[in-house]
Amino acid sequence: MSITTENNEKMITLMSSDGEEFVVEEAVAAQSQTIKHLIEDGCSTEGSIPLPNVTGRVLSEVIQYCKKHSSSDDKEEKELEAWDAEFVKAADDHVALTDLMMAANFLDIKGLLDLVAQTLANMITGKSPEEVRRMWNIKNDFTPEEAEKVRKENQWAFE
Amino acid sequence: MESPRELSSDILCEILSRSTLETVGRCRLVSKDCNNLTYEHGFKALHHERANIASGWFVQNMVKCKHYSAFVSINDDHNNNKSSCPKPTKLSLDFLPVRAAKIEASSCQGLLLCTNDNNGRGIPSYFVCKPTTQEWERLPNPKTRNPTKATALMVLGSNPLHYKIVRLSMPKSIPKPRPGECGKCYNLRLEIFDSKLFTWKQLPEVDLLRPDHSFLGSRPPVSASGSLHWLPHGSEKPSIFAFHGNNDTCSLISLPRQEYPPENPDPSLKIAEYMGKLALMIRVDISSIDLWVMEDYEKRVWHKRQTINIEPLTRLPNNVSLSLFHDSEVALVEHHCHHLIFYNIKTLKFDMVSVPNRIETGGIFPYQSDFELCNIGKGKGKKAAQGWKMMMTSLQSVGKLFSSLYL
Repeated sequence: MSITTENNEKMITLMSSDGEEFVVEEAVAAQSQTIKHLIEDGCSTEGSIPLPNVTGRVLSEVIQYCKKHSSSDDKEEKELEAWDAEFVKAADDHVALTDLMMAANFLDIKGLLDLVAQTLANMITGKSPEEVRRMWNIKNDFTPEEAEKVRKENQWAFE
Repeated sequence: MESPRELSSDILCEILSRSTLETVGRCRLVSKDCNNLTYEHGFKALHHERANIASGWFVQNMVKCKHYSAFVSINDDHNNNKSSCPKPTKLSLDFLPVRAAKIEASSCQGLLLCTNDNNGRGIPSYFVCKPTTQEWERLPNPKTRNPTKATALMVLGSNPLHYKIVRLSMPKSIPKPRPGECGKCYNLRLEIFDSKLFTWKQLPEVDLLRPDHSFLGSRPPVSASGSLHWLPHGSEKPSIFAFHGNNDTCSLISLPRQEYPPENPDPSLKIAEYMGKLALMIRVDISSIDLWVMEDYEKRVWHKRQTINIEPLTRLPNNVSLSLFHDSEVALVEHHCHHLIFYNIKTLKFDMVSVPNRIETGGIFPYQSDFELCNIGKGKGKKAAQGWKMMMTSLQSVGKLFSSLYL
């Protein structure tokens, strides 16, 4: 189902994994290549587009980003950069950022993926392997001997 | 805080490809998947582009007794559409205070070792530099009375930067063996420069059996598992000569027990670094190479990883072979001409990048670096200036003493 606003903007409805509905302009949603292709394939005509991998909380953040970036063609790049910096800061911790990144990856929004991935890359700078494992529940599958070998192969990065 | 999310390898690749070289190095210890990912061809290409890493080879040749070098990146020719990062290809050594500097050794942590060696005339000065940031420092001279057989560089720490230089030399005249002694025993002299101490130190001499004059070969040593490796030539039973950077010791490493092709024993054996480990390539016949990897360095355990099909390379002129690995898939082809040839051992396809000059034997130096300042050359200049000042003050006081004596 598509609605049209007074500005003649086509609206579409996105539905999160937990059943929350978001009505957004098509131009905003189409920043996601995944959604754009779904619209092109005619998946949006019957009701809303279901996004089974994205929760409502994350989707609202994604939409916030897409809105800002779709209306900002004429805005200065610096202002947009400052907005991006505030946006990732508001996401608060690596768990929220990882959720956001997974959504950006699934929805194929290049700008958002770049932004969040870079923020996470900066976060792991200077962290020990154990700290990185804890951040994402990664299992250490090295035996102590194997770990010692890999450490030796990369000694310069540890000292 | 919610429970942490599990990361897919795509997401991990997205994050790590935007991380620094040190972070990638450290994250290899996170998990096996993580370790393997960082050596993948696709990952390396993304990482170099996104994290702005210069990665490629300095190629060097000599024209009229002068050395010329150029930096060649793997993405130079065949990826023209991805030229968003033009910086690396412009690397040169023009910033050094010597003309036509000769590259002696390279590292994949940003440093190069150069000399102003003009074909063996005069005592060479040694310089360590980081071409991406144009930082450099001059080292004190080693004892250059004995001719240099090989020079190597290894980076042991990044914060603060810690490197070591190894110089191998041999007396010009070989002492005649005493009665009853083995006649072909050569003494190899090792000198180590440690950046922490900023001075050269000589290690006890190493006895090596029957090396010929160019026994360490002209190829740069292979750095793997915190050690440097040379494969001496001209030996019936070859073994790898290793220098261990952690404790300044040397050892000989035996090759895997395998039948070597008898007709052509030397050029068919090559050592390389493969996914952080020491590797050996054995040319078994015209179109295949066995790749052995030292899985356990402490126990010296070799493991035959795969047989590489190099049939497509046999279509090239000359009998070419693989020389070293850029990542887990792409190897550099040993080929002395105006091209660097890359061979993908998975897809069996090769690619060429043209080089300004003809490449000389041993003139290919693998190099990888970020563009961050590494603070070499700082402090030492100051120290030298302080030393100079102190000397001047003492000279002045001596002068005063003399003038007071005269008066």
